[in-house]
Amino acid sequence: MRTPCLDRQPDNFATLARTAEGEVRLIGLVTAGDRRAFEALYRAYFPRLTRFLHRMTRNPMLIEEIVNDTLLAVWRKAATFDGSSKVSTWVFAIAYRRACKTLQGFDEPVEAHIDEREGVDADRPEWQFDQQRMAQAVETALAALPLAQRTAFQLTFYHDMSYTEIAEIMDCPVNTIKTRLFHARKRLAFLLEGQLEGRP
Amino acid sequence: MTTFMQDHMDAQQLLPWLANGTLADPERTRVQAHLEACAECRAELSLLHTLRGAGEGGVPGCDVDGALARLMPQLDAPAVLPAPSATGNPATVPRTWRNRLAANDRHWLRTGVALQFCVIVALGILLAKSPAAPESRSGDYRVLAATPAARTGLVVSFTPDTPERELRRILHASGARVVGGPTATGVWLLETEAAPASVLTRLRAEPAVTLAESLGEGRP
Repeated sequence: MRTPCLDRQPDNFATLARTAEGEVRLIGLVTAGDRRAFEALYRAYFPRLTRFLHRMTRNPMLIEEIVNDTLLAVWRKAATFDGSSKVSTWVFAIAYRRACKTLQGFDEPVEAHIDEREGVDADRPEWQFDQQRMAQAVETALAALPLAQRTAFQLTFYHDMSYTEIAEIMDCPVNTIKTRLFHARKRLAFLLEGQLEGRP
Repeated sequence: MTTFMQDHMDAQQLLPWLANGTLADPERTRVQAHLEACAECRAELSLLHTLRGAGEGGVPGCDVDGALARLMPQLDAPAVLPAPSATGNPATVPRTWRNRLAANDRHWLRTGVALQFCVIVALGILLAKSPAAPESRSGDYRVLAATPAARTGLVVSFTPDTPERELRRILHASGARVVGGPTATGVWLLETEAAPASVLTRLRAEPAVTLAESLGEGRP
């Protein structure tokens, strides 16, 4: 069951995967069983999803398994994509659900409860002026956030998603997303206190 | 609450999406207008830009070609069964197990209902093939309401001095049972399902029996 494609060159599929409209076309081709289109979609989403999942688990094999699980669902359910949201929102929503389910099954520490940890001040990253150290400090502070806040923060700042998209991915009201992000920022400001002052 | 404070609270919530460029009008225009008048929000926006620039995070050591090579053979697998774990991690096994045994799993339920239907049909066939008159076989259990076999009525009389114990022994040995009497003339009415001739023979052989006669075949 394959639909004729005007041009099946891999480069053209990769080009399609660079825009939201192109992704919709790829999903249409995937619905028709086009493996080249699926591969292009897979290669486009692999780095985005692995980066997203990296904040939930540090196990590369587990990350790959969740990514494969997600994109296998995309392959099988492509016909159910109705275009009411962006392809990226749809794919990330699947990935988020699969990750939560998988990590719960594996008893992975998906959520860090900073209030339960001792010596919060001792965990604060040391003041560093270079960008690499700053990135490490933010990384450490983000890891201390509850999963829901961390996910909302990550999707906003590192995946450039709107609050409506994030609400759809996390399956909760828009106001919940705004509140989660507000608390995430306050927590990060506390954890990074003194290190962000004077920075551009 | 003043308009400024309300705008400030709204802006504080929306700043992250102004920072990532996804905030749309009219919210964007309203937040930008507030920023011109609010130093605190400008500082917050600056901080968010810093966080955004600093925290891309590490990239996990994942292999896109290897992962894709593992996935491609699964594309043709039937969607009913979950794809096997690429990592072989045993933790995925019980999860699949539980899902497949779940009462709301349509595939499992469908098979169960089909089996149940087959069992009901088989039991129905067995019931239809069962014997119509089980009492016709010797030794079968017969309930009180069951259709009785043909019975023969008999009359018997004993010598007047026959003790009650002897009377019971004779009747028991004969294979007949008392259904009436004694009459005014001392005759007992008996009934038997056995051959009347043999019952009469046994009765007449007893010295205490003065009369033993058949009344002919009675009710069935």
